[in-house]
Amino acid sequence: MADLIVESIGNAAAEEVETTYVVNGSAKAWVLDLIGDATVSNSLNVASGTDHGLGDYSFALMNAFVSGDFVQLGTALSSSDRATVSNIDRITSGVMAVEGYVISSGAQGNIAYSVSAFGDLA
Amino acid sequence: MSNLEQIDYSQYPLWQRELIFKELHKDLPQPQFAILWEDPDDLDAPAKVTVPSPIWLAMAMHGGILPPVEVYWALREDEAQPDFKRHTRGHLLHETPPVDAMTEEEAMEYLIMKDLPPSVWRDYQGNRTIMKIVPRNLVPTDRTMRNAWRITQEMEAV
Repeated sequence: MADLIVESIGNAAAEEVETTYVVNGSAKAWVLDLIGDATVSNSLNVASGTDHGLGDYSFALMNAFVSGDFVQLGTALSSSDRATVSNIDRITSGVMAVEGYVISSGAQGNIAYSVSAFGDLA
Repeated sequence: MSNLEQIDYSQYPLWQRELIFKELHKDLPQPQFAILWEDPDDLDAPAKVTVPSPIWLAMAMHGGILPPVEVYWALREDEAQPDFKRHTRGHLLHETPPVDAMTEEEAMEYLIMKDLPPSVWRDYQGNRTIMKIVPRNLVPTDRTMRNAWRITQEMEAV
């Protein structure tokens, strides 16, 4: 396997972006749970999923971030009445965590969702 | 077997090993087993269910990819320090010689030591059963009463 080391990437219209921007802007971990019980349907850099209870999920990473100060984005799937919230009580350098909510009731509930995380890996 | 099957994963950072492995191993099956556990530090919480990711389990059973579990312990220990700001021993993930191929049972034991709190698998001295490895088909799919789940305590015949 070979390495490609460049300072910037550009297109035919001569628009360029520094590769550090691309590297730092790429997701370092993501997970798709289509069932709503922390089952890992598909993933990158995820070792396991834990279902802590109704709408309470966490995912342990294979390769941790340098700290717990990484950016995590969650998206509820297939319903406009569902939302995810990052659970900062469970997040560590090696764990992503979200809670799933039913918007109309405000209560935690089962949802299908995806989570992605951005930051510097350890 | 292609040349890629003979690859020495230890040459690559841990995060890159999965990318290489994924190229050769598609459509991996879901794991057969789950870990049921209760947190002795939060006795009112419902029982938890931890399941490995399919690709993690496949890499564990392949061997030569994952670092020893002690590496994760070292990072956890660092993060628990009151003055922790960022990991300085992350290189251990990439530079420590990886472990050999594991059976599925060994992989589940590794996962317990990696991802469950030590208070569950190492320090607990109570009488209650707070951890079990079970076939996934025994985990209920009806989540209506999810927050009432507790691990069944098996009583020995007197």
